[in-house]
Amino acid sequence: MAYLAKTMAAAIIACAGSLVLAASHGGEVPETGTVSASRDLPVRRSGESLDLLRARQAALKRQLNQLAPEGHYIVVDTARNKLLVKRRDDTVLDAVASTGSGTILDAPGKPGTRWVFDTPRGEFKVQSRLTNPVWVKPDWAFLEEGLGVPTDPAQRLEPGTLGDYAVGFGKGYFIHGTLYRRLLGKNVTHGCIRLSDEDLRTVYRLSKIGTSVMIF
Amino acid sequence: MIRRTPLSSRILPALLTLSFLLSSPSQASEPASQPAGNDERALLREANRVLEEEIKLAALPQIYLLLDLSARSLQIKGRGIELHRIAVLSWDAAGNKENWGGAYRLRGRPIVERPKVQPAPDKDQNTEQAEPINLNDMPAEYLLQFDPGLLVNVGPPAGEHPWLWAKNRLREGWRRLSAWAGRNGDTQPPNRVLRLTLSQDQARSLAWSVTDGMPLLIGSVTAP
Repeated sequence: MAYLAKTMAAAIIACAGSLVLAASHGGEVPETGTVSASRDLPVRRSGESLDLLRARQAALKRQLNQLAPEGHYIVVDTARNKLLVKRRDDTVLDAVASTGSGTILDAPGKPGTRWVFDTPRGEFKVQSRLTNPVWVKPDWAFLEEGLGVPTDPAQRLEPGTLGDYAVGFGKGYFIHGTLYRRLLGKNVTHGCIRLSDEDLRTVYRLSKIGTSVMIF
Repeated sequence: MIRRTPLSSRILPALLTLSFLLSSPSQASEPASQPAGNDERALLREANRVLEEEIKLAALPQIYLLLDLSARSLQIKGRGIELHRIAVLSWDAAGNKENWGGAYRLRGRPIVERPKVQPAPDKDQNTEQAEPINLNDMPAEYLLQFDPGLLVNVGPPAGEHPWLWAKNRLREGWRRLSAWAGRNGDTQPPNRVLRLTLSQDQARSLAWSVTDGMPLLIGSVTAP
């Protein structure tokens, strides 16, 4: 019991539990942004020579390459339910995943409140790395089963369903394990990304806080 | 009781739409998209312009689209890294086709019919509940409205799916006509129309991947 309490304190997660939404949520797309050109870029002038244009192109390519993540990064293809761990152009892990189902759950008796079970698209960063995570069942997990939402927080805790690790990338979304391996490769989740135990272990091992997660 | 609408009121919108379509400003086919003179200097300038714009997009935490008209490829990218590539079978453009300018932003993704979960006891994660959406639920022909002033018409080859192709052209004409008449809240009608022919699977894949506000960068040539 003491061990369980300690584990929960360290690794309790909500798993996309705070997703009370009135509409679909897309990826984080900032409105606008600029980036200043590097000092080493040749200046563009009218009547440029071919050499100058080529030199500028080489400098621009270098600048673009510098924007790529350093070290490992995670790519998730939600259409094909694939998760890749990459380092530059090399693929370190090519895993079958499960991502969001895209379905909708309307909150009973609360018009306008609904959950959209999408995996968010965009670029995110790993924000937490947990071992032995315990799922804190959010409201939708009860409502979906036709149950009332419990008032006792302890009734929300469900150890063992998320696998050995959970890698959080913000807003309650995690990469975690699953008890239902036969559903890997399908869009069945409530927004989180599920992996097999072995692939999850690799993702946990190769990721660190700040690792880039690109989801499309 | 069925109220019959006068024949003229049904035919008139269709005729207007057709005439609007036929009166499209100068059409650009693929060869015409090459930079003027097609010399190396022009190609380098265009490729550098695209690189400059892409650096701005890649500097931000976002997924963006890069359309290379000469290579007929549409790339889904983040941080300058190609995440996925969609083959463009063919394209043509109407309106200003010389300079594609900076990045466009998608106003709204195609509407998808989302199944609703019906709350019920005995549901667990081992059973597939409401049928999830998948690629086959995505439309294969649709319009994407970008700001500023770009309408992208995505559809399958006319020869393979003539009905879808015709429907999409009519929809495009109606959208442009509505915009021109100020009926859909546009401050100005799209002054450019880009028609992309994709395979049915690729069109669905694109519909799946786009998100509201997603940037699109178009180049008539990009750096190799």
